[in-house]
Order: sequence, then C-alpha cells, then structure tokens
Amino acid sequence: MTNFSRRDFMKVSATAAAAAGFPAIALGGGKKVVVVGGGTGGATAAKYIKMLDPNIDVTLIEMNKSYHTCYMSNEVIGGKRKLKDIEHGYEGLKKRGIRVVIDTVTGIDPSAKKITTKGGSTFAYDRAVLSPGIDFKYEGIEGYDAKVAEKIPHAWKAGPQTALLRKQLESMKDGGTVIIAPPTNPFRCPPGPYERASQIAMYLQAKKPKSKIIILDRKPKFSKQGLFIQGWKDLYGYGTANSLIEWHGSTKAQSNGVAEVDAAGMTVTTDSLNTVKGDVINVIPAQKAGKVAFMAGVNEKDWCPVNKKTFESTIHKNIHVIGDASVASKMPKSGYSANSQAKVCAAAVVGMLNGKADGGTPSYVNTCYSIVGKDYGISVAAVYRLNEAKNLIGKVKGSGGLTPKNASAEARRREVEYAYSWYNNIMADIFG
Amino acid sequence: MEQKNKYRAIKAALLISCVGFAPMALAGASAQMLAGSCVGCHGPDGNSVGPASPSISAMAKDNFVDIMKSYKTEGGRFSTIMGRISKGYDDKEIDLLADYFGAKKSMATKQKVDKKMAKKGAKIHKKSCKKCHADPKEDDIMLNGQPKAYLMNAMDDFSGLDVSKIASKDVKKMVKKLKKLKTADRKALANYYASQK
Repeated sequence: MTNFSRRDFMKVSATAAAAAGFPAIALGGGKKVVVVGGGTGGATAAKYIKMLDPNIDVTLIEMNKSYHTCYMSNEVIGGKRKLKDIEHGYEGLKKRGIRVVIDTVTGIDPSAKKITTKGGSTFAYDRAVLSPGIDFKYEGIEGYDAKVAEKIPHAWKAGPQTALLRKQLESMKDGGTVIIAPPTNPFRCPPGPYERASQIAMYLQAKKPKSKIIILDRKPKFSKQGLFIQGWKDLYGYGTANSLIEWHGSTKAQSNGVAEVDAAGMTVTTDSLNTVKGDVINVIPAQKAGKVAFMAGVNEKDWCPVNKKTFESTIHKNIHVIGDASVASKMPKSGYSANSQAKVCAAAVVGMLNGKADGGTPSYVNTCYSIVGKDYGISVAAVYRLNEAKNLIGKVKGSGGLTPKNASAEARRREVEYAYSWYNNIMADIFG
Repeated sequence: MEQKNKYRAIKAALLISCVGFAPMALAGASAQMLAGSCVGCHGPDGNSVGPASPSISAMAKDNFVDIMKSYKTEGGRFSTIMGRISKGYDDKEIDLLADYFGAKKSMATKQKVDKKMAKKGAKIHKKSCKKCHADPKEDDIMLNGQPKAYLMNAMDDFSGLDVSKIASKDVKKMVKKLKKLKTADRKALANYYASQK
C-alpha cells in the first residue's frame, strides 16, 4: 500500500471505468442468443435482450404454442377464471423481432454451443439462456407417476392438469373430501398449495358446503402460514369442527407427508401409515429443475448453480439459467422472481456480448400475492441486492415483508385488486 | 520514515477513494435496472393496464420523490405494499427512478367508463377540483387516464385523513372537500378522470 505506484493506480482506474459501464460500441451485432423455455423467465429474457440490444439475433424455443401461467391458475381451479384467461401467446415477442420456434429441445452441447430439436433443427448460440422451469420427482411417492397424474392431477404446471382438477371438483358430490398433498422444499411457488386450498374452499363454501379439504403436509410449517391460518379462521371456520380446511403438518415424531397413492382405491397413505380416502386428490410431488437443465448438464443434483450477478451457469460457460430451475437464494421460486432474474440476466447477456464483464449492478424484486377469499388478499414482498461476498441475493435491510396481521378489511380488499393489477401488468411486461 | 509511510498510505487511500474507486462506489444499479422492478405492477414504461395499480409514467419529479419518501416514513402515505417496497430504495435510487419514469410518455389506462357519470364528474371537477388540478404536466398526471379503482382508493385515503394533522394548506382544503363528497360523486369524478387522456 505504501508503494502505491502510478501504474497500479492506472490499473484501478481502468477497472473502475469498466465497472462504471461506459457506453460500448454495439459489438452485439450478429451475435446469437438462444433462449430455451417460453415461460415467465424465458419470455422475459428474450424480450429484454432484444430491447436492450436490437442487434442481437434472439431465438426463443418453446415446446407449446402458448403458455399457461401457473400463477392465477388456482383461480381457474376455484372457478373464478377460465383456462383461456391464463393463456398467453408469442405474437408480442414475434413483433419485436424475436424468432419464436415451437419445437422440443432434444440436445444441448455446451462445448460446440449448439442446441438441437426434435424437429431436426440445430441452433448455434454465442450465449444460451435456459428457463426450463420444473420437473417432478414422481419416484418419491409410491404408485404415482406421469400416467397416474392424468387421473390424480398435480396441476403444478398450468394447462390440461389445471382443467382436470377443476372438472373433478365440479363433479364431486357435496360432502366430498379433497386431499391436497404439498411437496417438500424447495418447490415452485411456496404459498401456492395453501392458496389453492383457499380457492377450493371458496368454491366449496358456495356450492358444496358439506365438503372438506384435508392438507397432508410433510413440512412442519409453510409460507405465509400466519396469514393463511388467520384467513381460514376468518372465512372458512378453521380450527372448528366444521372447518372447510384441515391442515396436517408434520413433526419429527409424525410425518403426514403422502408416501403412497392408490389411484384405483382413491386413497393416499402417509409416512406415518395413515390411509385417507379422497373424492378428489391433488398430489404435488417434490421437484427438480426441468429436463433441459439435465440435458445441458448445468445441474448439480436437482437444481442449477449460477453466478447470481449474471445467472451464468457455474458449470458451463455461455449458458445462463434463470427462474425456478436456478439456485437464486434467497429469492423464492416464484413468477415475479423469474421475471426479475430474467431482466438481470438479459442485462448481463447483452453486456457480455458487448465485451463487458457483466450487466452492471443488479437489482431484484419479488412480490407474491395470494387470494384467500372474496376481497381477501395477502402478500409478501422483498427488494433484493447482490451480496457478492456471501454469494447471496439478499433482502435490502428493512424492506419487504408480509401483509401486517392487523391489516384492515379495506387493505385486504385492495390486495386482491393489486394481485389482479400485478397479473395484468406483468403479462404486458413479459408477452407484450 | 514511519511518519512518511503513513502519509503516503493516507495519500494513496485518498487517491483510491477520490479518483480510483469513486466511480465504482457510485456505480449502483442503473435506472433501467431499478425500473425493471417497478413495471411488474405498474406496467411497461410505468403505464398500468389496471385494474387498480396506478400509472407512474410522466410524473413530476418532486411528486414522485415525495410520494416514495412518504411511503418510507412511519405514519406516512397509506399503502398496502408500497411501504414495504419503497424501503428497498435509497434517496439516490428514488431520484434515478423519478427521472426514468418522468421521461416516459403517459398513456391512459384502457378501461370502461360510464359516460353519464363522467359528464357528472366533469361538473364536479370544474366546481371543486380544477382550481388546483389544472396543470396536465404536474399533478394531473396522477388523475387523468388513471385506473378508476386507483382513483377511488386515493379519494378514500385522502378523505380518511385527520384535517388537523395535515400540514399543507392545499391538501387540507382538498380533504375537507372530499369528506363532503358522496360515494356517487366520487364515482362520477373517477369516471371523469379515467375518461381523460
């Protein structure tokens, strides 16, 4: 330090200037980015990369013609929305000059930087962004697999499964039992199973009030638990003999997680060997990153480790992983997280293709609304910054948190309005 | 010698902090990066699709900054979620966001408007509000073309305030007027402002 030379000083200055992000010449021209997965993360990344640098050639490969958002799908299950209300196409992205390819990816070669599809096409990339979402670990539950899921839906990827669960609830008799088996951590949308129970309870209360929802949970606690329980008490008689919802969490001594499904007998058996009969059964298996992540070999066990500033895989260079499949702790696996990560990733991809080290200082956000009943919304929010020393996306001190327990009825009513506002606006942000 | 070394060390440190590292310390998240976190709820370029979260495009800077800072303050502007979100941004970042959204073109939220109510609302506006809410570049941005539900919520919040605790004379006047307005009149006003571009 005492011999701080002029040469060292120049070095520091140069680094600082690079970090400050001087306007770069558009080196991105002719560069190719291929995004795999047209869900929340992938569609956002494709759009933002193209917006930030129109000279980059952006291709989005997605296996389905349209995307059904998992968020708000509980309203389809509850009967408030139709499936088409959560369906979004890719016309908006095409208009922006993004090449949208409807095809299934069959191979990713990180060293050749090539992606192949079922349709027989090969796509070369300078940088790839994978947003593969989730896949299910069916093997954790005896008697349950993708085939059985056509009778006992997980409905944890929105679409036909969502419609199936809704149909089953509609045909169920009054006085029936609905079983919901939430997965173990970590999984997509932590408050989702409990919002689902709430939405189903709202439907049953109006149409089939003698019915009951039994939640068999392998976890000892769950997301927004205090607020959900309060809502269930306020709306569905939780804790009384006539409660529409029963939650059976687990302790060290007794696990109420579902270990086995008998599709023919319509029963589930828990780890503690209790067998429960249901008229409608919704089993949500434990999860892992989507298939594409395993194809590319960017996974470490079930999920994909990334540099949290750029979302570049720590396993393979030039491949970025965002959304539910990535390890982006401490952000939850949510739609808004995926959208926010996609923007940080897009800035990094554009920066890196333009000769910079990254996309500048990132900022991330998550807001997650749950609609517990009519005019009864709750939320959790956080603003995040990167803590490079700890390699964590940490909450800005003092920011975020839950809806206060003593929120007024008017505030809860507004949270439903804002949940809908979030949905409409983020759809415009992603697909518009 | 030791003294000299110390001096050099201080000088070097100063050099780093003033010249070398200063841009690094200042290189926080860009306005665009920060704004990415707002548009999920407030819409592309801060123009809300509705039904309730307001558009934040083209706002006067002072207004934007004041509102954000008020959200951060205990007992400040009422909110469901903005109190929790605003605490994630420091003064410099709020400034950047104000400039960013302030430069965006305002677009009216597409929504159904009751023409009869809007007509009634126009009369109420002329009689009771226009005197202050007249400059389309300033505070009217918070009214014209905003979602009806937002306008109703805002009127509800203002009319619930304790007049004796309001510092601003103008706000005091407005709150007094709002308290006298019936729900139907507020609905008329909301329809009128929602119908404006």
